[in-house]
Order: sequence, then structure tokens, then C-alpha cells
Amino acid sequence: MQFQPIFSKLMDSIIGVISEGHADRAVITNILKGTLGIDESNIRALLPINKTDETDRSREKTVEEFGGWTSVKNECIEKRIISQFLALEGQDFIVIHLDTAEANQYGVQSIPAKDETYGEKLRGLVVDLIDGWLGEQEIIDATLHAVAIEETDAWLLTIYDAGKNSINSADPKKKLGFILSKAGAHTTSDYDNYLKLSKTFSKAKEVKKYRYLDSNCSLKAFVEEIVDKIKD
Amino acid sequence: MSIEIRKGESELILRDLGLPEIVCKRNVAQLTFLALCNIKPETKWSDATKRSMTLSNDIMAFGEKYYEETYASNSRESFRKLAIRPFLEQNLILLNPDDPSLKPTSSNTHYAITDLVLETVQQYGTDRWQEAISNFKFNQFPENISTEFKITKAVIKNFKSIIDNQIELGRVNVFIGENGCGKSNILEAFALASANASKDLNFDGLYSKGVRIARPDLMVNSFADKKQSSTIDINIESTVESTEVDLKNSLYPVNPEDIYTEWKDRTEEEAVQKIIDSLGEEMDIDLDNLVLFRAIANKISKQRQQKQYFENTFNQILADFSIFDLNTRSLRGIVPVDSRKTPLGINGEGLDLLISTFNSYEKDELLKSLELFSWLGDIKTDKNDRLKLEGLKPGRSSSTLYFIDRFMQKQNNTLSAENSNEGILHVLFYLALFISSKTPSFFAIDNIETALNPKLCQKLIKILVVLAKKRGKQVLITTHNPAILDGLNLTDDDQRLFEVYRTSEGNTRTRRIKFKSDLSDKDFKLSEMWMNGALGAVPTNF
Repeated sequence: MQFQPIFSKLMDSIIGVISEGHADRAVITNILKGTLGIDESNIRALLPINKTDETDRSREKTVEEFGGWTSVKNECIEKRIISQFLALEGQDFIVIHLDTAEANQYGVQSIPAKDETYGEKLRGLVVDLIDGWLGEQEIIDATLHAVAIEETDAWLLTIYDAGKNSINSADPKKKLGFILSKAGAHTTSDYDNYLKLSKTFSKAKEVKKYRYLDSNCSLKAFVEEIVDKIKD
Repeated sequence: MSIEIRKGESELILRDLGLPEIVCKRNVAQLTFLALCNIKPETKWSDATKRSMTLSNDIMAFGEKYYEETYASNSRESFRKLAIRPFLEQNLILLNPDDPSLKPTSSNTHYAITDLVLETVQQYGTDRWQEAISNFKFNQFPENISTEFKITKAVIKNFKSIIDNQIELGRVNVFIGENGCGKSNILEAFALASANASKDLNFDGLYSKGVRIARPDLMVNSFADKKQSSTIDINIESTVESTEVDLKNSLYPVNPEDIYTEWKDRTEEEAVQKIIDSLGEEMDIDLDNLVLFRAIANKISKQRQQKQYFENTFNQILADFSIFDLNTRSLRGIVPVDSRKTPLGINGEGLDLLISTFNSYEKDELLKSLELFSWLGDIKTDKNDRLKLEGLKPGRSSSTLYFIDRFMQKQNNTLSAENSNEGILHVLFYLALFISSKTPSFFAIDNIETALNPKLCQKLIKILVVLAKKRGKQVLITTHNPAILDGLNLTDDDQRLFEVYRTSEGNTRTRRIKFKSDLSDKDFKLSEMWMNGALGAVPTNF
């Protein structure tokens, strides 16, 4: 079936995604497809890990240095791949993804109390942190913040544990794993499997019908930011 | 000015004009040239003139009168063999310009330098001499001047992995993408249109152009959720000498189940039907309007003839298209010639023969470009395979190409194509392909980086862009090597870079990669951008 973007200017546009991992990018890909009506080929993985080679990696003690939030943070500060991506025609937006599970490690000084505003407040703190790393207003304006409270697995819980507010889940990955295993589905955390698991997000009608966004305020805020920024 | 100095200048000029050393050194050649340019010992080269001269009465007499030469009566043959013949071969002089109908044996047979030679020699001794020589060599042979054309746009439908794709081409077009994204399919679509243009739409015709032939139902695209089309449609828009020419192809297999099937063009069949229909209507002419009808018919006919010229020219350009995909053994002349294509085979065959026919302009361009190999002194082709008898190649190779290594001892510095490094063979092939007037004007190169050092890749592309512009070539190139991209200047509209990708449905698409207008902050190379994923065209799931 031919894809039909909601804004015609998106037909030849590409949105870059910098995420902690491949599985996170798969979920974001489906959200972008559903929200904007674009094709997967309009979404481009920007991989800070490509700045290094196997020799670099072998010299480092931990994989963390190159994957996860560290590589996202380093790229936000360095902005090398981001600048390269934004230098090309039709490439005007980037998604920056961070889970908040390790927010205190990457710089959020005090995690808000777990009340009903917890999700919004924590997202706000992480967004401010990302913008601080980015520093340049032009790049901040081009950035869509995919900040998942705890983990992107919490966004998937809106589908697989429907109707419950997934913000409050202490360990969404574990919970999702449990639910999926019970249903006999694969739980492997890689791009292809998470693309399948999150496929529903690529169908705008279903997202609306089952009100997935209402079950996770960080997912809702991300989707609203996509629409707001891109329609301008 | 002394006689000896003038003769010395004549020798130098002849050498610069591209005549063989053995001719330039001959007294008779030097004197003949001085006579034909009307240069007496006291005349300046800027005052050279041209006039028609016979051999005995004028040229030889000129030598005797002004250059103190005396000739035996049988010297005429030496003049013919050592001066007149090579001058004619190199287009320095014209035979019987005042009366082209003269028989070769006529006593009035005469010669004159060309206007181009006159304009050139008048610059001798000035600071414009090198420029004049380059201009001379380019214009010396009419075949050096290429037809001005450009393929501007192509729309490909229903071919292999391409459901529907549109490409707007520049002069040098580089395609990058993941393995299996459909880069080669794009090149093959042009080969299919080319086979149609050369009336060669069959297994052999397609194979010789570099198409990977599959069963017809796999050539026409076959997608799980899509009804299979009955035709492959390829529309190509171009300009020939500023006139727009469009070519439509709607190709279908005669036998859809036979891999060896012939293909036919529905567009052509429909066009013929239209003419038949319209002729049928035209037969019913109102005689009162016959004069008016004739005038209109004449007008249409003239326009058609004019259009026909451009269409035929473009058809020929397209018909010559091939996909070159080199292999070193073919370049070395070890693998028997497999390709029907001439002068260069699609895998690298025929390079030695082509180079042996290069004119002085082409040879100069080739040697200039080969400066990137610091060890290379010269290139030789040994038509009679004499060097083989001297033991310079083991004998498996049929190539007569040899390289002179300037770092080696003079008596022991000649390497055969079979013994030389593979990088130079690949580079030489590409240079010959771009420089020669006998090679296609429009062609594709699959995996240009094969056997080349990254730095050489960058430099090669830069040289090929210059040659493509100079020699009127248009090219489609695929590569997996980021260094190739660093030789491209994307601010030049003639140089275009495309990402080839597949949509989530599997449809092969192309997207032009273009910088935004403000490049003031650009401090990164395209190769790095590609490796970082900023250009796409890399696998992203690992």
C-alpha cells in the first residue's frame, strides 16, 4: 500500500533518529510512521557507534561507553552526526531518544516524587538536559524529544497491558517480557522484533481508537511534539 | 636567423603537434613543413602563411632556394614517405585543396597546411603556445568533437525491484545503497532501453550489455501484494543539441516462460497502428483543400525530418549503452573475449586494441591523467607481439599492452599487462573509456572501486568528472567505497549523488543527496557522513 504523509512536504523528507538502542528505534519508527503517515524509508538511523571501530571498542572496558545513553549524550554535546545529517536537503528533523531509567546517571539531579505529575516533570527535566547538551537553538528547534519514562517498553505496555497507566510501572521491560511470554510472543530486544511488537503504533486509526497515548504521558508528549513542530 | 635554428624549430613544432619522433628528426620533414608554412630563414613564425604547393616545383625548390639543400632526382619518394604521408595521416595538411578531383598520379598534385595548423604555428614562441597546441590536438581530428547531449530524466516502472521510480540525472551520477537495494537494477533498466534502441532485445543482446537475465516473470517485478504488470515501462527524457527528445519503451516478453525469450516494444507497435489509422483517414481527402493539405503535410514532414535527426542521434547514443563491470583477468587479456561489445568489452576486454588506435589528442589526455602513477614512464602497445617473443610475458595473455617503469633499468623496464599491478589496469580502462571517441557516450560502471586504493578512488573520480565534461560523456556509477564520494563536488549540478533504498514494501527508489544552500559550517567529508549514517545507504539493523 502506498504511504500518504499527513503533510505533503514530508513526502521526500527524512527524519533522523538517535536512540539508545536498535529496539528503541524500531518503536520510534512505528510512532513516526503512524503519526506522520510516512514510510520506513523516510526514517534514518543515525548511529553514534559508527564513529568508532572495533579497535576503539576493544580498548574500552565497558560497552556502555559506545552504546546506551552515553553515546546519545556524547553525540548531543559533540553534534557531529547531527550537523552532518541536518546539512542535507530534505533532512530537517532529528529524534533524540533517552530512557529515564538511568536519568540520575546522565545528569538529572533530583528525580521528582512519584505523584501524578511525575512523568511530565521527569520528561521536562530530561528535555531540558538534552537541550542544554545541544546548546544551539537551531538544532533544538529541529529536535523531537523521544523521552520514555523508565523505558520505551513502557510505551509498548500501552498496547499489551491496555488501559493501564504505564508511567507507574517500576520495571516495564520485565513486565512486558512477562506479558509477551505468557502470550507466547518473542521477547528478543532487537530491531526486527520490536518493529513487529510496536507495529500497532504505525496505524493512526488504531492508536486513536484504543487511546494508547492516554496511557503514557511521555508517549503522548512525544507524539504531540512531532505534530506541533513538523506542521510549522 | 640561421638555417639550422629554423630547422630545429620546425622539429620542435612537429613534435609538439604530435608527430612521431622518427618523422620529426628527418631533414625532409622539417624542410617540407617550413616550405608549407612559408617560413624562410628570416621569417617570423607569426608571419607564417599558407599556400598550395606541389612537391617538386614548390616544396623541394623552396628547400633548395632558401635552405641550401640539393636533392637527387629520386628524393621525391623520401619526401612522400617521410613527410607528406605522415603529415596527411595526422591531418596537418590537405591533399589537393584547390582541386579535390585531381587523380593521385597527377603532376598537379598539391598540398597545403590546414587553417588550424596555420593558426597554431603563428603562436610559436609566444606564451600562448601550449594553449594553441592543446587546441590544435583537440580540433585536429573531427571525431574528437562529441555530440552535445544529456539524459535529463528517467522514469522506470515494473522492472525487477523497481515498481515506480523517477531519477533526474546529471552528467556524472553516483549511486550508493545497501547490498540488494537495487542499484544494479537501475543500471539494467537503461541497458534494457538500450537493447531496444539497438534492436537487440533478446538474450544475447541483453547479456552483452551487462544485464543479469532472469526468467521474464522475474524481470517484470513480482511483489507479494501487487498484481504483476504485463510490461516494463522505461521513459527517458533527454536533450540533443538543446532539442528535447523523449523516448518511451513499453517492453514485454514474447514468451513469458522462456528465459531466452525475445522482448518486444508495445509503444512501437502502438505508434505504427496510429500511423496506419491516420493514413486510413487521410485517404478521404477533400480535393478542394488539396493545396492547403499539401502545405500542411510538407510542414509536418519537415518538422518530422528535423526531429528525426535528433531522435536518431539520441537513439544511437542510447544504443551504445553498456554496463561495465571489470574483472582483472579480462583486463590482463587472460580470459578469452566473452563480450560482443566493441571497442571495449564489458569486463575489460579490448583495452590494448583501443589504446593502440588513440590519436595524439587522446594519447596526450591519457598520459596527463596517468600522472597519478608516479612509477609510470609510458604505455606501449605491441601490435606484432614482438615483446612476447622477447620473453616479456608468459604467454597466457592475449593483451599487447605494456607499461614502462621509470624506476627500472632501461633495458629491463617493460611490464606486460599480465605482470602489471591490477590498479593501473582498472584506472587505465576507465580513462580510455572516458577519453576515446569510439567508446559509448552514455554508459554505466558497476562497482567502480574494485582493486583501487581509497585515495586513488577519490582522485580517479575527480579526473573522470573533468574528462566526462571535456569528452561529452554521461555516466552512471555504483560504489560501496566511501572514498569515491570524496572526489565529488556536490555544489556542481553536473555531479550528482543518489541514495538507492527500498521502501517498506520492497520497492527500489532513488533519492538525490544534496546539501542545503548554506555550506559555511561544512567541515566534514561525504565519506565520513556516509559511514556515520547521515546519507543513509548503510544497513542499520546491526
